[in-house]
Amino acid sequence: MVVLAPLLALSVGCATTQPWERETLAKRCMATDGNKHAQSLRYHYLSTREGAVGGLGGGGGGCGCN
Amino acid sequence: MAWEAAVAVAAAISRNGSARALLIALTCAAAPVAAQEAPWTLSSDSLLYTDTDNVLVVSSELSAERALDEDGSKASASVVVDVVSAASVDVVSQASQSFSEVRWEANLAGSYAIGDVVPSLNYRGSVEPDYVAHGFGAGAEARLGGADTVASAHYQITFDTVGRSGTPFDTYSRALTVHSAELGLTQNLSTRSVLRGVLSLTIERGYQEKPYRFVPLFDATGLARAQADGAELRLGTFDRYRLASRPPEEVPEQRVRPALGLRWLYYLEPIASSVRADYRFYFDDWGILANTLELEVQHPLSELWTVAVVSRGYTQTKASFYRATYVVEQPDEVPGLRTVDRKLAPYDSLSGGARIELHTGAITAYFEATASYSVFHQYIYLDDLIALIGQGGIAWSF
Repeated sequence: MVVLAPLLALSVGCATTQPWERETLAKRCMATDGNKHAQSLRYHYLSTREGAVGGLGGGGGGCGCN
Repeated sequence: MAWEAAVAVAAAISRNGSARALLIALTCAAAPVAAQEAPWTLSSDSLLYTDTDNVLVVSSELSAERALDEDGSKASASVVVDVVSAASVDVVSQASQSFSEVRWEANLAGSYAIGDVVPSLNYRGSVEPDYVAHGFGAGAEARLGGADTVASAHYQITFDTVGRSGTPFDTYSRALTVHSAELGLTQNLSTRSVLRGVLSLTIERGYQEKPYRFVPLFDATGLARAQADGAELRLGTFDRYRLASRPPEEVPEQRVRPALGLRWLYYLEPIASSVRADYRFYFDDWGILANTLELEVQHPLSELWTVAVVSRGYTQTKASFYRATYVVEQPDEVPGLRTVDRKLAPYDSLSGGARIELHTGAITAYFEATASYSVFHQYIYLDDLIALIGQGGIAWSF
């Protein structure tokens, strides 16, 4: 919260690009989420191997596989 | 797809401003229609994991998704099955036989756009012979003041029931509740750069041990005998020098696990490639502190093919109560907290791999191969581990 709250406050309504300038941002290789099914399987195996969870994915419980 | 097309239209008009632009615009305008006419996506993904610790895991997922509009409303369902076969040190050190196990998971999710806000609900259920879990989540994603800023929030509660293989849940079961909350913010920094920050907090309350893990204890006499024999305490020797009693694993009932993740994407015009850098800082009240750094370079070879190289580094410290060997003063003494879980030991891991993707109008497919090397610094059963991971998938939109 300490980190994200100021970022959120600063960026609300912070237009950095115009619609006609987003051609590069709209490229497939610039997608922020990537392939969600591939990531889900990957985070699943990583969460069973590493002591850390959360951040950019892999949080939560629901599996006893160690 | 519609968004990409709209951007292409705007970009074409701004660049050309002529009849050619109108032609490009008309061509691209057909894309949203195509997207509306192909609201279904069926996909299949599989992951194969094998390592030098005799573990083999095959995970497969089948999913179906139906887009309800162009604004983010959708419904999806998926089934995951994991087949695990293991004769790892975790198993061998407990004098147990190797085992094979199947886990089933079902996911249901739906979201519905209301203006610029897209609320969502999801359910996840998981069943294996000794573990059952039901998770319920709710979240929302919203554009803040334009397309350059997107905020998201998600909360999930999972009710786990931990059992013991071969024993009915009525006879033996323990409960674990997991709360996971996540706040995210994605910001376009420039015409070629995006930054995302995600703050997450996971709180686990309940039974967090493994019912199969028993912790060897040692006293000064046993250690002196090992020293006299010139033996190091390892997987093949520890049994000779430990005390007779081997109590079950015992860890705290609660674990609070915050993490901060940052993702930075940058488009490198000279080589027509994107660079992704992910960093995660994690710590918890058990004393573990972990840093994760992941780098990926993605390069489109053509309209159809894309290649990527990926690398990941991970390092963590140990839990405050973790010991490579638990040494007691008296033979009947038992340390209050004790574990042989290598996820609570200090270790470092490095991995690298490559991926190839195919994108046609209706079909997307990929294959990724990764190798990883991990070093365990205070784990008597294992010094290091090499793992190979192969992952692939195909999706069809219609």
